Amino acid sequence: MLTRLFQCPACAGRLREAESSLSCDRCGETIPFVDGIADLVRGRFDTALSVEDYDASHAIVAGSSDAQYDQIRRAAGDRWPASLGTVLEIGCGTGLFSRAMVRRGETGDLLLTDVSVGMLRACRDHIAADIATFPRRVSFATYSSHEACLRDVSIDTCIGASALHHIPDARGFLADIFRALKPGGRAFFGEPNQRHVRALGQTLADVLACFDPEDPTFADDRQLLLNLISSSRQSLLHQDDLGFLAKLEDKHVFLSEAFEDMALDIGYATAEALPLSTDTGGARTARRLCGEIGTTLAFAERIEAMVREIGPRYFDLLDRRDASQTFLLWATKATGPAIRVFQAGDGRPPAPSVTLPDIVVVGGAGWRAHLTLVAERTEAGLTLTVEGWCLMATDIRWLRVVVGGHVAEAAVWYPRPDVHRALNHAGAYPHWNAICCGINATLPLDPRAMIDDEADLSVAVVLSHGAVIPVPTPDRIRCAQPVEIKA
Amino acid sequence: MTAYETIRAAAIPRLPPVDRPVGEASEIAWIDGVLTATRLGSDAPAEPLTNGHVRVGYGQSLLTTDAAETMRRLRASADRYGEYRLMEPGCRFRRALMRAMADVFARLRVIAPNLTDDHSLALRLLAQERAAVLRPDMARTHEDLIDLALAAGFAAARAFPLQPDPGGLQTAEAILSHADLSPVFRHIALGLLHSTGHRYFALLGAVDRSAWLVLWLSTQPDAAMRPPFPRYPMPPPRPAIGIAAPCWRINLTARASADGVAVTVDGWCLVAADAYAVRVTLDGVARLAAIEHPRPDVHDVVNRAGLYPTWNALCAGLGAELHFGNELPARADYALTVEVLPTAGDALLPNAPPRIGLDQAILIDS
Repeated sequence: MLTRLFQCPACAGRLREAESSLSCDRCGETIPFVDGIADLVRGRFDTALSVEDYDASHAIVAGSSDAQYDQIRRAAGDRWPASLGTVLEIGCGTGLFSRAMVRRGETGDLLLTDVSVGMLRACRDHIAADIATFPRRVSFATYSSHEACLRDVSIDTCIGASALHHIPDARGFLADIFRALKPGGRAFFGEPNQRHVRALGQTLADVLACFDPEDPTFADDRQLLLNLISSSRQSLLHQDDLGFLAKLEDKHVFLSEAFEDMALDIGYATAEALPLSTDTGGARTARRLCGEIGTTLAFAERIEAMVREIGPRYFDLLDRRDASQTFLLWATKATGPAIRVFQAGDGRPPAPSVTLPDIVVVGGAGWRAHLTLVAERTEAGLTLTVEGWCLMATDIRWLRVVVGGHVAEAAVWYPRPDVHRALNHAGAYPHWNAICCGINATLPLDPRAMIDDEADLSVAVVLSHGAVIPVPTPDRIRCAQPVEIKA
Repeated sequence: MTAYETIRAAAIPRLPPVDRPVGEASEIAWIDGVLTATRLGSDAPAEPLTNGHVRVGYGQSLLTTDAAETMRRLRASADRYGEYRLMEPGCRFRRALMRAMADVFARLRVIAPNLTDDHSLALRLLAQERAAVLRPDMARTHEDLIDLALAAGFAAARAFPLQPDPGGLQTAEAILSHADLSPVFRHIALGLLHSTGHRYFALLGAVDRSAWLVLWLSTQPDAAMRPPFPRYPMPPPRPAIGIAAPCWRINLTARASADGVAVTVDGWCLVAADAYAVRVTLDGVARLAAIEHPRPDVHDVVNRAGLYPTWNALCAGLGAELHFGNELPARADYALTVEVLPTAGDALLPNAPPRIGLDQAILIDS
């Protein structure tokens, strides 16, 4: 089966299956089997998720596995085919969705992939009993989306239950899958919904702002929640910045229409974002997230109730499709070339995409900051440490520091509830901005940036829509001498 | 401009082509409570809408009163190949805009307290808009209107943004200019709106990013159309935790008047979720007092920590005289029920006494 679906990643030649490897007839490249798993990735990429933790938080039991399968099937409605045919599952993890697929038997041969051999081993163990009665073949391979290993027109269905947002070049990956799908095939992915994430983040920031910072009740729980909203803000602010997202485990948070436009642009015949797990007020999701980050039950209940009260100011702006914490992104490949016969008055022209300009957001309460910059020569080379905070009513993406003509950028996202407490009594800044305005980064600098341990200095803030605002700073920076910036 | 001219002039992505001859198009409008049609390109006067005669109908704000019945009338008036293109206000857009403006005006009261005339004009504008937006007929989303159209028998219904205004700035500028606010106030307000509005406007979907929607209705099926996603009701506000619990101070005074019993309602009522009215029921006969008056003092005192949406807190005022007419027989006192009506979810029940007597003043305080 593997030779039917895979080609040589080096030369696109045919692969031959041997006892301990797949080998290319043309260039001789070999893909080893590790414990029976075809290892295409060979450790070049990995996940920060640990198998044990992941397995614990996504407990693979028949109930949860079937529930997820049924939820996706329900959301797909009449799009779900009689048989899924040959299936490629990406990011199968420890087998939550795979187990239900094997149990239900609505597929042909199955190829289960993940970036990690450990995950695949755990997956195989979980579904071993079900595989025994599965009439078709199940194969395992590591795959990270970077390997050009999928053969053209080889699969009927590609599934990613919660995987697409981990892939840095999602567009390139979808184009690869388009090529690998047979005519009439489909790809579907369960993914978080950007607008819902934003509404919940803003609500949770407002919720956290309600707590008296001096009150020790739930202090640890609050810190956990604070870390969570800071990290969601971090990824939301950098959605179009692949270089930055590459460092994060969860990279993309898709907008429904952006995904649809991207898939249609690649060539899919249809692309739809369907609501998968509706949560109109966000309270249920907040409660679940509290559970996932390990807060106490009492805190989770309190947060749920507070989100119910505070959430409507954001959640009632979401349309029906966005009132869902996750989407099912469903795209299909046409059964054949799209042939149009143009006749007067017949049919309608293809729908152009809706592209709305991004709004330019500058204004509101004044810019405030307290930053310390220190350039140092260490064993690792020349580095610049940036610490402090930087707050505007507008979203700030980067603090850009130019030392001797060399640019370094620090992301603005660390939790700083103390800044909110001190400066934002009157609520002049959005709570999410004020609570998550910290900077704490050590940036590598080109060793040539400083001559005689001294260089020109300029600092600017880069806003989320790209506008750059210069910050008044001293003209020069010297090694090991802190530069303080206050505004 | 007529609805026909406005819709034709707008560059609306995904709007099916408008290629029918002008002679087949009619402008539909409410005139003196009657739905009328005027054939475009002819000098004939407007005529009451009749069944099965409209090929292409254009209209503006037709669905802001009794939308379900109006939709049925429109369907009946369309011929076998009939289509309608209707301009309707975008309710989510207006909600987002007014929430952002409320945040702006609250901030302006602190940073520019000398502009007192502008403040009162701005708050009045905010309160009027809030009363209008929260009216059940005006609170219909584009999905609600599509549901109504399909239920009325149209074979296809879709919504398109008429003039996308992703940050709300063009619409805000038009509203503020129309409200006769001073240029200084307008300038500062629009500057603040740039940043404050993002937290609301970023949540709007592509269709909702416009002050006006075009609703395209057709009696012929559209192969590309799927029915809208089902309606997921918002969970009702839950006052249990008391962080932003509903609070109110409602004064009721009943008296006999020439037109029967009248009840004066004043005070304020503040709920985190949108509440549009207080319903007062005497012996089973109900009347509504809209929550629509500016009460910046309530915002200053109760909402210092920003627990309630600013829009709700600034416009929490009640001030109405409810006339019960001759539906109530003359009596010394009446069974009383008082309810606060949110736009979604169950009514809230303030702790009111069971009866109210004529010339008796009652204070309901949370």
